[in-house]
Amino acid sequence: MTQAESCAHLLRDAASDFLVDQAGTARLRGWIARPRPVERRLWRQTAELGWTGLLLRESLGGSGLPMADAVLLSEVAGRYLFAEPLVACAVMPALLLAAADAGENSELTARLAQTLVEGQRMLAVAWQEAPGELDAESPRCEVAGNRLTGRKCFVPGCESDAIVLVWARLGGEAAWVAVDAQGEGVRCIVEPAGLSSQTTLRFDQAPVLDTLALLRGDAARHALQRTLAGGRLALSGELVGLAAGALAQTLVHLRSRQQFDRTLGSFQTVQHRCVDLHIEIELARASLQQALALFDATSPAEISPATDAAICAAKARAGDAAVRVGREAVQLHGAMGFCDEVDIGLYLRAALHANAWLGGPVALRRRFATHSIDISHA
Amino acid sequence: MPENRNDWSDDEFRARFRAWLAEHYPDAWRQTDRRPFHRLRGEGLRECMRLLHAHGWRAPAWPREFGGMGLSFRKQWIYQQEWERAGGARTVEPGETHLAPTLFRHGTAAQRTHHLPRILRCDDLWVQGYSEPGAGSDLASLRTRAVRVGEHFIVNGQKIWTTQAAESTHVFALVRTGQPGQYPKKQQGISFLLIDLRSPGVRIRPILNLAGEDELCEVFFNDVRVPVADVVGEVDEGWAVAKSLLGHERLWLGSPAMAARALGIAQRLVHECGLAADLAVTDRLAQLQADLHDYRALYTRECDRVADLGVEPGPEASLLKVYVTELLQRIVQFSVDIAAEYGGQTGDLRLGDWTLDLHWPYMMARPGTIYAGCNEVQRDILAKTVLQLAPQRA
Repeated sequence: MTQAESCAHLLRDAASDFLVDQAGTARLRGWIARPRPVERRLWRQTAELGWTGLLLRESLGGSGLPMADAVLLSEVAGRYLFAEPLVACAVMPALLLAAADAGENSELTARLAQTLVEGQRMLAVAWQEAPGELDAESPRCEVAGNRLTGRKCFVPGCESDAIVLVWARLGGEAAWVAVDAQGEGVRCIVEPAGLSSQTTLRFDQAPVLDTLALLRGDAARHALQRTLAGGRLALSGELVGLAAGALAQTLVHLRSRQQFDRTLGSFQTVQHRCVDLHIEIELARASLQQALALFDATSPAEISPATDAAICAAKARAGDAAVRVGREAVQLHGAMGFCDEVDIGLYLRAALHANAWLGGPVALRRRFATHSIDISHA
Repeated sequence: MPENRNDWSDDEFRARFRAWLAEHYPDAWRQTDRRPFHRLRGEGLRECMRLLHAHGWRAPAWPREFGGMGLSFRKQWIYQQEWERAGGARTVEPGETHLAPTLFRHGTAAQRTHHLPRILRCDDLWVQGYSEPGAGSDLASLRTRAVRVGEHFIVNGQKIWTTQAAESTHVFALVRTGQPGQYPKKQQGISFLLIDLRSPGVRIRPILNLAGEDELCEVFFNDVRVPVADVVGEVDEGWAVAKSLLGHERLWLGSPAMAARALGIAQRLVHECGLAADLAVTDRLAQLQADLHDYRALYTRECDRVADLGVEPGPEASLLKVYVTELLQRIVQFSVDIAAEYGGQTGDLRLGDWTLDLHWPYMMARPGTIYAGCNEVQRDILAKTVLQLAPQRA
């Protein structure tokens, strides 16, 4: 076993133990059509475990671990239905702050990094302005005179006291600025989504923190790309975890539940469906690992077409797999699968949100295809 | 002994085999859009194998002591990739890929000395004689019988789906040698027998398939005499001898090459049919492209694992074959669907200056899900071994 592999094992085991002990699924029930707030006690605990600062380098108070570990952690989070916004409020802000570290406002960056590492307040990333957007190259939100005006949508983990990192236009170029959600001129409309929430933000002359941008121009644009790419990778990990968790739980059920004097799992039609679900998960894992190997979280350059294509394929596959496994797992659990008290429906609900967010399979595959990578040979 | 090409770096090996193929491999044997999964047979196969042999590229997986290249798994994989990249014909040569490994493990010194050089030179062309009319995926139900009389076995019965038997010289067959009622399990009492197809009492009948090819054959045995020395391994223990064949075969069966070739044609077809702006079409194409992309990642992961850890692929590797054979069928279905009325045309099709055949690959994509353990049986096995679901019958 290589050192990286044994570190990964340690991380996986520690994370699984923590989630099994501390993050039971009872907290996730009863929230249909109501936004479930972030479980702040749990969030602080994960911060103490170093999860929120996992990707930040040590000088910013983080652990400086590679992207592969963030993906691994996200997978464990999916498998055990952590359901707190690890990708949205830890992985993505960390990638953005890592890029901003070299930017023009290192003092603010350091303070935001500290907030992320401590986990007392949430950091939310607001980049999207319309449904189905994959990259938002030209934001309409605008900063003028150190005040932000515009609208952002589908922001997970945007608690009322969050600090929001906003993708906006500033003096004719793109920029990242930070805004206090509690400050004047900010209105949050929180909607229930998946097992938690997503927020629409309206900014009306909202003051920008420190009156300075974190990043501007090409550096800001590349940081957006990297934040989205890394977010998609980690979210793919979470989706793979959701799929694997739902299938594992289903297999346990099928091995034990008896009908017609035999276990459900001994019926061929059930077996074949499970094999197909297993194959989908293996494809998703393989696609994700390949995309991960191409992604360099630390490079300030643009994401290459081949890397972007691989990430799009991985997220599309992982999303399809998680939703399909979740859906079929409900069926394979029979009437119990339709009951709120069985966890299997939580997997499906979580998958629906994670699949839709940061690009659904159809849109991602269209983008994958536009890169027209030569697929005829390996 | 010729140079050991295992000593070359992987990159050098790849470059040199690629260059050799470009220089020496005849165009007539390459895949085309009329015959995208073209397979060599008979004299063509002999010529091809002899060409490889003459240049030291024959039998990549055999140990060098038996005249093979003795390549590491990774170099075998590179060999395979370069062959497919060059559009090399598919070959079925069970003498090299199945019988020889069996002889390495279970054969006597005399059997190895006699057969291996003849296989390398293609003096003998071997076919596999396992399936029977009543024993396909359920192979252990086979009934072809061999009764010992003195120093011979007398063989009676029938084999079917013996690929290319009509142009081959020998068959390695599984035959029942145990007495009725002698063993509790049907896998017992089977022997692995080497039979000369030119023996008196052997009759071969080619079977025309849905693509118009007649590679598959029926072979009838009527009092065929086979020397006792031509049993491989112990008498009545042939099931274990045959089972040990699998090994890397599970990986080669999962090669994405045919799907990639079919997808290349499908992509061009979208443009030739003027459908490049039709979202319903391009979304389906994008799905297939992403499927192949992801499948390649999975196939690479499995091959890497075998190459890096030096392990044999386990039963989990058969999911490769299950997925890729069905992917191929989805791709050829897509091509037929988008081609409108041309989708029903059999034989050559001309679109502008492009000549292709949609029907031939459509039909040639059928058997992949049937042979080497049909996909339904593979799913049964995966459910049991990988997902630990109980067998269907206690």
